Amino acid sequence: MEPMLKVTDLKKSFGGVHALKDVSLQLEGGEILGLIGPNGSGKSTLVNTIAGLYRPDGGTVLLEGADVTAQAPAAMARHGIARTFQSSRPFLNLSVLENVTVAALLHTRHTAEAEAVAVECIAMTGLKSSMHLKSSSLPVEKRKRLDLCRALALKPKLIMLDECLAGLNPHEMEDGLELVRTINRSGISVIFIEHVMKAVVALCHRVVVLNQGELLAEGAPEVVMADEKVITAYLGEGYKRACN
Amino acid sequence: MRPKTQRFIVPAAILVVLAIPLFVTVPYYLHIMFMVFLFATMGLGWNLIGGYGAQLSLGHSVFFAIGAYTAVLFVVYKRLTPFVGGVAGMALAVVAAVIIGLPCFRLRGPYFALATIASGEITRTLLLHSKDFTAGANGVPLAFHGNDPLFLQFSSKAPYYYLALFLLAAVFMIVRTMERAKVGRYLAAVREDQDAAESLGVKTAWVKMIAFVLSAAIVAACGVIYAFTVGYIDPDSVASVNLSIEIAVVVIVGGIGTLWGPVLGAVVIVLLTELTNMFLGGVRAGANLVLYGTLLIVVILLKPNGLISFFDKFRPKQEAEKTQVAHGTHA
Repeated sequence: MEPMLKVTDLKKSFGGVHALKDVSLQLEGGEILGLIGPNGSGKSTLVNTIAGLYRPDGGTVLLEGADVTAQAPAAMARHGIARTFQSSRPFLNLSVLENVTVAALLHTRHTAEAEAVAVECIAMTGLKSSMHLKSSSLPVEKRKRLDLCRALALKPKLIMLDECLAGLNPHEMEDGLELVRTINRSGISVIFIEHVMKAVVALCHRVVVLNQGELLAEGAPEVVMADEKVITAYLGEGYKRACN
Repeated sequence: MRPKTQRFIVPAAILVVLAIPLFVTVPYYLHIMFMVFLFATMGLGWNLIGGYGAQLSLGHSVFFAIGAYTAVLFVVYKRLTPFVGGVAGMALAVVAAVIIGLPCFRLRGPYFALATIASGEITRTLLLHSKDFTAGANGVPLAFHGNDPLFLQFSSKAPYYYLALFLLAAVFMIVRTMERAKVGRYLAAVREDQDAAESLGVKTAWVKMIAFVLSAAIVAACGVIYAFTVGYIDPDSVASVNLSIEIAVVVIVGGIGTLWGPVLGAVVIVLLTELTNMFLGGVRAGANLVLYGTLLIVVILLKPNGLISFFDKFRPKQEAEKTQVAHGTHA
């Protein structure tokens, strides 16, 4: 059986900066893969390149065995790859329902049908009470939920969540983690970029670590977090002491 | 406005507009009304790409000129009815929109506006210098051979009035439908954030192209009606950058990205133009234009969301917010 996503030797440079140097990774169907690393390590570049926002300089991206390398973001969404942005990007002047309806229109041309799908997704992500509010009036936590909700309305096979827990308090973070688990239980694979290690360990089946555009380590969360290379490059000695 | 009042006012307004030519017989007044309808229709067309799509086009006279010249030249050279020439003109405008849109939609913000100005000037220059075919700066007159509906020739202004009114009504309904359909939702997303829209499967270039093409066809149809009403066209009157700006101004003053904004904008701008011409045109050279410009600045300063925002308090909250949305003043 083909993996859900197979990235091979992906390269991306911005002028003289090599943001991705031959990065390869694989994600199985139904898996939650954590993607961690220090700031500037290439995590968001990797997501943007897989999602088609950046054109890779080399390498391939296969989705269930089909080559989708360098396709436009709209095409990627049609193939079943959804993503959220590091800084949440709702359509500020549209209501929550209008925001999600835009995404749901991917699979129908009837707005009434799309709205029905949107309402389901809104209920699932706990935004029902804010459905008719302008997204500009939402607090950070709800904007993050809206990002996720829109991605969900695309009926994707894979969702890439770029720091979707950033800026949330511990309680909101717990709710967020549960939401991601619910989404994953519905059969959607997840790539989860996060700096909060507690959340990564609690949620991810496997973790990949990037450092300076290169793959540093890969494996089960507990194994990766105990890796000396990862501690030196990213987590720091403080993390090691806190664990002990 | 209360729904009951609205139910009464709208049909009453339609009846009044339909009855005007029965009581107003002065051709000049009917011509002013004709220009209001024409600019309202062009404004609705421009609004599709400039308002809903937030792509500031300052080259829409290209399509007006293509519609006008194609229909007139079909009559002059082939003696074909403007109904055929008009359809051909609209088709050519669509082709021109695709040719302009393909490279220009890669550009964003002011660069797109500059590129559309350039395309307008290219069209005007081509019309000026293709003397053998378009008579250049001399323009093309349409000889009057008596009343002939097939060739849109009437001794009275009333048929042109009704023609422009019918076109306005048809375009209004098309835009209203489009606003609520998939393409309208996608345009709103493109206006808000192109990259986010793309990530949700919106083919932004395609959506903008649909809006641009439809917008071009509508403005070309206006060009056809204008040419046969006035009976004369030349490059400066139908392909000037001034005309392109005036179409955009109608929408900006009325309320960009709204359904009624272009209609209200056309009423105000056309009346303002005519009144300043009437009272100041002969006083001192340019005095009318100074007053026109000053009044325009005052209107924009007082109501940056467009004059339609005067009516916000009479409209349901969600509708009223659309005015603010289109201007980005509600973020």
